[in-house]
Amino acid sequence: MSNTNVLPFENYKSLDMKNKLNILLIEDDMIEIMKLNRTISSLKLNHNIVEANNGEEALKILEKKDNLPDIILLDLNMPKINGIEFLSILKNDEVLKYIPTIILTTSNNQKDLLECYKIGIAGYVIKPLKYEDYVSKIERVLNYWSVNELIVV
Amino acid sequence: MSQKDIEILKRTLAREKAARKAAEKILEDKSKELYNATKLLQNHLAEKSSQLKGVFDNILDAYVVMDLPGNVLKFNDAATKLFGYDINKQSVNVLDFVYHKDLPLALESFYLLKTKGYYRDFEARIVTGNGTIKWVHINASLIFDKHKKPIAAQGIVRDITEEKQLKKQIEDQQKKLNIIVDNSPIGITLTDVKTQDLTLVNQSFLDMLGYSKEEFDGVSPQEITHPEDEPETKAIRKQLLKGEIDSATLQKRYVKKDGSFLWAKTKILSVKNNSGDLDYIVATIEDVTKEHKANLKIYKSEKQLSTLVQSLDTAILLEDNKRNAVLVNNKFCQLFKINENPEDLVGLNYNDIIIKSNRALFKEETFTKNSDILIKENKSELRKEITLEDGTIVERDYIPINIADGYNGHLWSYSDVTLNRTYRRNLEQQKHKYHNIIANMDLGLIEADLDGNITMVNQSLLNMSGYTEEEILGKKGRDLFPLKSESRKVKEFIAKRKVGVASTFELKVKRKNGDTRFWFVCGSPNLNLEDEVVGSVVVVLDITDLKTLQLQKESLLGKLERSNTELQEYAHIVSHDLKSPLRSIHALVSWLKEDNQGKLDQVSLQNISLIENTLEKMEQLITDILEYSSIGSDSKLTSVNLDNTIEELLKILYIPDHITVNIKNKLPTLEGDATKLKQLFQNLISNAVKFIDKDKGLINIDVTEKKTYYQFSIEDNGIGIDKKFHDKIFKIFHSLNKSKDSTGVGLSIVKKIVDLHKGEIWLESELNKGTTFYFTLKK
Repeated sequence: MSNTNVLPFENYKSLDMKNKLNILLIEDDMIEIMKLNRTISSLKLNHNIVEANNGEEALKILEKKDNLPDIILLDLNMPKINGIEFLSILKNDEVLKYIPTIILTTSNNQKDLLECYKIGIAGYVIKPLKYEDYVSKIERVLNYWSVNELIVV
Repeated sequence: MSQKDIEILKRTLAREKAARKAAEKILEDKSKELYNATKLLQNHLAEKSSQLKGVFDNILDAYVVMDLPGNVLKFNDAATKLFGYDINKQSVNVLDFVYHKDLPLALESFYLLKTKGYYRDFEARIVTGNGTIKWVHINASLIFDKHKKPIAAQGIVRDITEEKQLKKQIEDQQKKLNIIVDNSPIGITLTDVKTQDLTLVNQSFLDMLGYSKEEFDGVSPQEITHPEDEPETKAIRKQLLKGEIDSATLQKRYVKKDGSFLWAKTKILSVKNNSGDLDYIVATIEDVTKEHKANLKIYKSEKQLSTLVQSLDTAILLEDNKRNAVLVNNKFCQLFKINENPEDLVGLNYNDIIIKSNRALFKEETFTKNSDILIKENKSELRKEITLEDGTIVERDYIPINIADGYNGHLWSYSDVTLNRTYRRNLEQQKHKYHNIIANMDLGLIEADLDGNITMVNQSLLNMSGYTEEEILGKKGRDLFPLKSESRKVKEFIAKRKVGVASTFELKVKRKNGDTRFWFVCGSPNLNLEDEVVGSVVVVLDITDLKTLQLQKESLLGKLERSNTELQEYAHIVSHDLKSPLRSIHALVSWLKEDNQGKLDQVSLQNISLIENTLEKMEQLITDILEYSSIGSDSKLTSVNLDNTIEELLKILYIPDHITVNIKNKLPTLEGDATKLKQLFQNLISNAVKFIDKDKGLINIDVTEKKTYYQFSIEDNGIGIDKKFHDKIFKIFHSLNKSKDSTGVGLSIVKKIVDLHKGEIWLESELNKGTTFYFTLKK
């Protein structure tokens, strides 16, 4: 790249240190999917997003063990298999249980929070009303996970 | 043999012949000489003998002369008679007469006689000529010639057979007596009057006192007499010695060897000799310690009994068979108003006692007659009730006393039962009253005996159970009514009743037709007048309808609880579902704005901004509703320090600079749900902040302590609230001011939290001046 040497230090650092994440987004709301995609593109992040509209679909994707996501973003409120059920399936799987799973939900119900932490999650993010707030939260979450060392199962 | 030898022999023989002849001659001469001497001696002896003959013939005792080997030379007439033998007819040796068993003795005496020259007091048995055995006493001596050479022996023999027998008899008697004396269980002593010594004590007496014969030798009569009994013993002894009395009996104590006492019945008897002088004092001693102890016991128990009788609350009169009083107690005198000591009545006849009584009871002729009949019949009559003229009710027992030899008297006992009777009557009345009440109250009543058998039921119970009276009476309630599953409760009830404790419980029972009913059972022990449990009384109330309602209520409550939880869940889901579209709209609007940057005019941008505000308000509303519906579920009570709560709150709440918050008094610590109490204050303070329109805002927080609760107040100088809204203000969605940040739920939440803590909330307000919210929280 011709302009590599004029990149600000920060940029250089970010390019150097941030991992490209394979993200599995499990979400049934079309607009929510759009929001994440738009957020990533507007933030110019180069993470790879795989979408699943429900738990069943996600499990099908996760069957391919040679191509597992780095992290999972999981909505709790879904038809068929709900988020908590899906989480249980995940954590009972010898391989899949190592994938960090971040809950992305509207529910601030203490009961749900407790249940999720009990089963085992890597984060619990409440979807804010304002889109700007959403972008800011997602940016921070993804930044965090992109600097983390992740295990390859 | 040679001639020479023969010659020598011939000569020797001849010499010898000559020598013998010469010797024979000498012997012949000597014999002649001896014969002459013997003849002389014989003459001399004959002379002496004839001299003695007269003496011997005159001796009454048998006289025997014998030669040294014992051949009898002479018997006098008495001897001939004694020995039953005539020596003139045939000679005999004295040893022939000796009884074979005494022979060794006889030989010994012979030897003594020969060596010593005499032998005296020899006693032995002889067998006479006619075969009878006789005891003889012999004194014998030797007879010497003039050269002091023993030539014969003489003896005087006395027949002692009778004497001997007599002696033996006496000895036998003595022996028998000794056996009796020594083996008698009664102690016997003999005191010599002259020496004042105990000359004889028997074994029993020694045994009684614990002495051995040897030990007792040095013991004086005083030593064994109890010091307290000494004077009496002495006095009697004196009387005996003086001859004033011949015998005496006394009970006295003896001192045993080990120092303990012995009670003895002592009989003393004087023994006089032929001339009437006192010789001995005989005492017989009988150990009566046991009897004495028994007597003491009897005496004691008699005394106790009499004390008991005296203090008895029942009047007692014991009469002998002649109707003379033997025993009367205090209560008797009291009951029949006799102004005398009961002891003074003893011995008096019935008729005399009647006269002394100030009560008509005894004077009443029929009664007297009645008692005569009773005595005649000799049959006891118990609990005869007699009413006296003043209304006193007396219960009389008549008990004839029959001892082995027949009718011996009788016992009258009277108890005043007036109180009992009236009490019982009252009780009956009470019982009747309650019976009526119970009968009219549709309460089932069961009375049962100690075994649980039903003795009485009322109509209500029959209606309730569906049984007839015949089907119930005599059966056990526990067998009839309760379901099997209730046996534990029934057992508990029975156990409690046994110890006299009442109990109430609910019981599932079966009616006769099999219907299950709920009974409320109140069982208590049935007591008689003496407070003894005689059975149980059970009152039963059919509470099936009530129970059904209660069960319905319980199931409704359960349902309500479930639906509440469901509602809670529902609220969460709904709020999620409602919020999702809002978020989507927000995102979409943002994107519109973003994507059309610079293309939208001012009005459009303003409208988009309004959409965003509306979305926010909508979201707040949903949050508030969710919060409101959450209050009341899962609240956790802890100790909450409200002072800390407020301090924290003021840190996080947005308080504009022109508003001052004063906390006038230190806030208390109380029991409550920390989060909700925080919310309570938060809502009220932020409400106050919200509605302050003055340049200088003021919020005062205060508390006053009351007896059972704290009263808090939060005062502001805001816009105030119109009186007509004061009631409505706490209702949900009644926001008075439809402003951007007011959803109308805040005060509803406040009210709900106060309600949850069992407090009250109200307000005072003046338009444009300010509002004060008051609320109370229980201590």
